[in-house]
Amino acid sequence: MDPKMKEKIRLLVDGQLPEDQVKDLIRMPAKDPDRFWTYLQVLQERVVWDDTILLRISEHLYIVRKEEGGKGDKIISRVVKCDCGHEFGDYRINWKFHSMLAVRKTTPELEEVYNAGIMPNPEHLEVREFYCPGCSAQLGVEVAPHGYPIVFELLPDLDGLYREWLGRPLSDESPDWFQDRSSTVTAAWAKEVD
Amino acid sequence: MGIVHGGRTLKEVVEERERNQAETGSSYGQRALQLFEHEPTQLERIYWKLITATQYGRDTSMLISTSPSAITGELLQFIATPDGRAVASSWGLCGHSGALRMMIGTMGRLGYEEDQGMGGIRDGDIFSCNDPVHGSSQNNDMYTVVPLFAEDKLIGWAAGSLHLVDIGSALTPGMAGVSPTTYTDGLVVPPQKTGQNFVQSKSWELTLKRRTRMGVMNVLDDKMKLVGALMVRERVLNMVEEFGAERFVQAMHEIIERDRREIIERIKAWQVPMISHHPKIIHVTQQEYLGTAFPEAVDCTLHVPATCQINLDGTITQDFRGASSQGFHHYNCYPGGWNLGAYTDFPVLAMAPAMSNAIYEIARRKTDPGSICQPTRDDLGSVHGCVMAIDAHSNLGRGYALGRFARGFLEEAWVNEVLWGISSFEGEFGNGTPFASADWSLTANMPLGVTPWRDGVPVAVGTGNPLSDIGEAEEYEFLCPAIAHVSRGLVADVMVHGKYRGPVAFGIGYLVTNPGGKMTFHSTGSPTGTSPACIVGICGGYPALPSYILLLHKTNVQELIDKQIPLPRHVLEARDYLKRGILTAEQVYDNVTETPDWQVTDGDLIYYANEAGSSWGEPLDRDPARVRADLEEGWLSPDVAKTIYGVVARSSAGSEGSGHDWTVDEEATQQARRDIKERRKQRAMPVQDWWKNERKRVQNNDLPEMSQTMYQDCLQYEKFRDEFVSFWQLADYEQAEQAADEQEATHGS
Repeated sequence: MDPKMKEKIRLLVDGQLPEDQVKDLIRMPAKDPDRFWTYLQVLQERVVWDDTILLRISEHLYIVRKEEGGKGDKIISRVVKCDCGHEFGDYRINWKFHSMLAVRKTTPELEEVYNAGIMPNPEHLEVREFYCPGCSAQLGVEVAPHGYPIVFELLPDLDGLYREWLGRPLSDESPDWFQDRSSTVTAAWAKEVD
Repeated sequence: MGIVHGGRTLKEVVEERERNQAETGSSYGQRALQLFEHEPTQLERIYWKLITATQYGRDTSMLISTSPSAITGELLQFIATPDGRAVASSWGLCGHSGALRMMIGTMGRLGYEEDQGMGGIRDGDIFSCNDPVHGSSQNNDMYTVVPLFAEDKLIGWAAGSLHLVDIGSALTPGMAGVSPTTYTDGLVVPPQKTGQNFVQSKSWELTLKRRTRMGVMNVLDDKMKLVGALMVRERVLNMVEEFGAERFVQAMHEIIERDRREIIERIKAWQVPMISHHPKIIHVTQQEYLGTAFPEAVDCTLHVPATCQINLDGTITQDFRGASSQGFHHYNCYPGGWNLGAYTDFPVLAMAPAMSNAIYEIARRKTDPGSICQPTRDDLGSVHGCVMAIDAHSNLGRGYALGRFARGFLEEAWVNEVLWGISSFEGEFGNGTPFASADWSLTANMPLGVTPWRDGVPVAVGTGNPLSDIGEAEEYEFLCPAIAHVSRGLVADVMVHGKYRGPVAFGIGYLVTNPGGKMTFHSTGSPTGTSPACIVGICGGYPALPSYILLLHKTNVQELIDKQIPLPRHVLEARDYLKRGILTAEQVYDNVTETPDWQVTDGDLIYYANEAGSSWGEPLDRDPARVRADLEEGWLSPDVAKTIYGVVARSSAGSEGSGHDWTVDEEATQQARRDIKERRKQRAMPVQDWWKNERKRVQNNDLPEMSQTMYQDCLQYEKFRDEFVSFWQLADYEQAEQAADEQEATHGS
């Protein structure tokens, strides 16, 4: 791994790389082939926990590999984790389901974030802000019609990425990993109320 | 014996193209690329000669035109293979290069080459088309096409495309912003021969003059495209002389396939295989204006889901299933509309010196028959079909941005939003002379989308057009003498906040000045009364703001001028003037978005605030130094810095001042940010609790009527039904559906 490139990536992640140097990265005739591994290393060094980052999916969120239990009964899972350490559970389930939600529905509520009074029409739309239960960081926003299902923004094919595109298969590969399991949560919620 | 090089008919090469794509995935069924592998220098020579031919044709012919779309750089000249796939194109709006695949497809399938009624397809013929059902993005986009013959055989096509400033729509001038049927869209021309012997016919010229409002301007545009195509033809014939027809055609095929393979490799190297969802909605308000003439043209909310699936083989599945049903409005998207829609993919995925049609071959589109994304009837309004497709594709681009972000290529991750608008003016001068014109400032410049390393940049690009130009205010005033610009510039405080904020909005203010006879104004483009881009923000940032228009009718502007009071420069000042009683208006149309024809009179004021694109990341993560820089530039008010960013700053001129030497109070900033997070805790609830409450509303149909109608419509499509029912766990609905299916099966058997 090129230490100079690693330093550049670290600055890029921090938003501190000067724009002319970012443009140099854009103009590279061929991208550095180790970029993904450099990136993961930079990210891993920034977080306060030890779980291995498999993929960064948002500014604060990562899919991490989690190992629990001893030698005989080791359980490996892949969960969404905030950089503060809060865990949102299985990455195949929309992480928003396990977040805190504040909804802006009225003009005064909207004016708090759309300060110039130019805003989505509250007759039709509401602003949903999803916060981390651990650190209250704002992790996602939707400006959606009332009644619109919460959007699952990104489900990666981790096994495919690591095996086919990166050439380093993950040890716990399974066809089950690339499946949206979000409905198991809403089904459980429905059971509680019905 | 067919007319195409090699002796095949046009129909045969069109069918072969479709077969190859379906069966081999390769552009022309190639395995090895002979020239690319064994004679790369010659292939490059041919490639660059093709590019310079299109550029030569474009830059020279453009001088003929006077229309605003040409001034701002939309004109595209391109060269296509015999089956209609563009192999190289000039600067200009690159998405137009996809149109010929469909136009030539229609001509081949219907047997134009054997059509004795029009004399077949011969050297010197000129064909025109602006029909979205047969390839044109919308009927404003007229394509002028000449066949390229060498040794009496068809070796390709040269074409020019440009958005005509008016196309004779029934209800609104310029680009039909209210149009329920194809018959109100204006002039629609399926692929047809309009000239021979390299000259357009008199009847075609008469058609443009009679059936469009700006006939003379459109005739000049037509001549411009033809001249450009003929200049390209001349260069191509020189190339054939140098390389031979056989090699020339082979090179064109290999260039497209080479580009396809390069795009696939880049996707594998930069992206993450994944599924990501970025839906959009559009509000259509038309009933008030269409009245009893078109009772089917109701107000509605349209749903446009956009699911981006990046596949392991490097292809992309672009899934728009679950969209609203086709209807009597202007958002029905025929196949041609999708051609243009895909132009937002070009700068993100293609990244070649010249745009070939390879981009269309790495993607597979999924749509529901009968939806706005795949109309099954061909008589519906469609002028904004391509607008919907552009936004849908730019939403797919959010998936590409997230993929690059996840893979570590932050420098290549950007939100490619297409935020634009056109102001159209139509009327009659005092002497009875009609006029129609348009201001393209808000289309020819757009913001450069936000990234995970810098803010959005206003007035930066014409997405999909590397040579876009905002145009001079004076040019638009020349084209429409009854408007004067009050202002043109950025509007402080109108932006979307985030770690990296969206671009500051761009504003235009117009003063209507003595139109003489009558005059109307209408606006079209991405303004939709809601977020023009996407329901979903990026990584904790907010999605783009809706475009905004304030229209003030019958004002006291003359009084202000007489008293030498400066007119308001932008929408926020205009609102302030109104509030303080300095400015008065008999009618105030606030937040009008897509407008019908507004009657305007001398002294009316119109203000835009557009292009406030999405932000990236949450506001509390913004580096206070960036907030300070915004304060110093005057883009941000100090109270906004505190309430939204939690940044406490003071200037030497005082905390409310507008000095250039701001200092951030770090301790107070940390406390303010802690306070904001504390308020979040108080306001928020677990999603499960919200879900329980909202589910009752959904079950009881306690939703705004237009949303309810939208859901009822979209639930007929399987993909959205599955998502909606599984999210809200609507067992009753599922059971009812199951019973209906069983009943149908019983009846069927």
